[in-house]
Amino acid sequence: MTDEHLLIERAQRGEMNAFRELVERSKINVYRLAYDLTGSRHDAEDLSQDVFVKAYRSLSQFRHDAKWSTWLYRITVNTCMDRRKVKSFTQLSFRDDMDEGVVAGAMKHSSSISPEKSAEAGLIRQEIEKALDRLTSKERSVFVLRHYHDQSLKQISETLGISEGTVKSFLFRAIRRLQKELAFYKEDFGLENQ
Amino acid sequence: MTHNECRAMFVDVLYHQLPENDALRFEEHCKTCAECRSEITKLRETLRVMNLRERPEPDTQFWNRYWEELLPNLERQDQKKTIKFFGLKQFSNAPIPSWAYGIAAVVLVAVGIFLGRTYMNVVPVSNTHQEPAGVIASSSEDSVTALAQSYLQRSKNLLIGMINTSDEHSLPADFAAQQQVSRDLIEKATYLKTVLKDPDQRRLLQLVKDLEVILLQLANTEIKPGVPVVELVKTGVDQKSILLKINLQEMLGKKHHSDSSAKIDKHTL
Repeated sequence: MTDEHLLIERAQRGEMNAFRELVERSKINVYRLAYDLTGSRHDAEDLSQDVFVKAYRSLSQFRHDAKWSTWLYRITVNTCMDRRKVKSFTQLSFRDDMDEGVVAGAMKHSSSISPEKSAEAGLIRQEIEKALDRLTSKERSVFVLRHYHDQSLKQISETLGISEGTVKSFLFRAIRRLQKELAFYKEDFGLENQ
Repeated sequence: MTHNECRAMFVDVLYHQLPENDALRFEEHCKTCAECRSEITKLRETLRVMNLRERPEPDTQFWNRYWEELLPNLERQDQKKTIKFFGLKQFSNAPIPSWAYGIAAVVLVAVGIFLGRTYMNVVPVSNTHQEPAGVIASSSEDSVTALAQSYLQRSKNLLIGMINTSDEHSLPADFAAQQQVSRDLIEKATYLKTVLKDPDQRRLLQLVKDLEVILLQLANTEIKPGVPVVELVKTGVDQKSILLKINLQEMLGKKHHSDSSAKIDKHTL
């Protein structure tokens, strides 16, 4: 039995310290996935807390043949999808966050590259977020799990509860759609030859 | 290799998951197929652009107070778990079994039916003969006529009340009470039909029957918004000229009564 499973067992018996350790180990990944699914820092911060509350509430249902991260990712995806249904990802806060991200990105790069390049990079990142936002919930979930969280198709199929074939199909559709959304910007920002 | 076979490999190629043999076949195909080569290049470029994406990380303060903010929410979950049911059973995290949902659904349906039957349902009034309570036992001509006159008077009052409702498309406020009066009158009509046998009472019998049809409609109308009850009553009353006939019948009844009184007086004298 792994260290992680021992922690889960202790947490299931009601040991808060064990659950705290699990939270500490996974909070960054949960936050990142929530951000990838929502595109909003504020939503991701709130959602990551919701995810751990839900995990704590259903801890007794966790089966030890499953992987903790897969289980947690599943809760994260479902929580984000629920939030998306309720909120339709409030466009206003989403845009605000995106601008904030662009500014932060531009600031980060300003020391190493010219202001012009930095602004360009910020705009590209903004367009990337917009392109991601145009994917369906399933396409986006599959894409970010594969591309940014390095999950295999099998792991994604377990996380989302769909077959591997369907995962592959969603992933292909997502990439094709992103390609169409970003084609114009690639030409515009001279990325074709990079 | 066909285009379709090649495209089916795109995802695996992009994420370097293609087995060596297939990878070689894929490369061979792309050497000769400009379409597939161009498509996979564009997809690779797209993923490269997606790699430019950056996530804004929360500040260190957020991570430092993460557990402190989470803990109260977790403790609230604990409190929910320990709510005791009648002081006997403690709720746990265990999932509720499906049969419990089934039982709950059956109980809800039963309660719904009970409440519906008790408070909501309009009891359909059948047209079968029932001896009305309080009906005068004697079927002598005078008592029958008196009963008929009373029936006509009450029916007229009811219908005039309905017709004078200002809004034809909404239910009168006291519609339930009016339905109850209709039911009483239907019972009386049922009785009257059995006793009005005299050829002279043919018109009265017909009027009782006409009124009964309208009263049955009224009594059996479900109490629902939007049901044009008043309009229905008005149509029924207009078609049969009910109010005119009632007035005539009342006049005839008074005349008959005065004739009878005169006869009695004459006889007595």
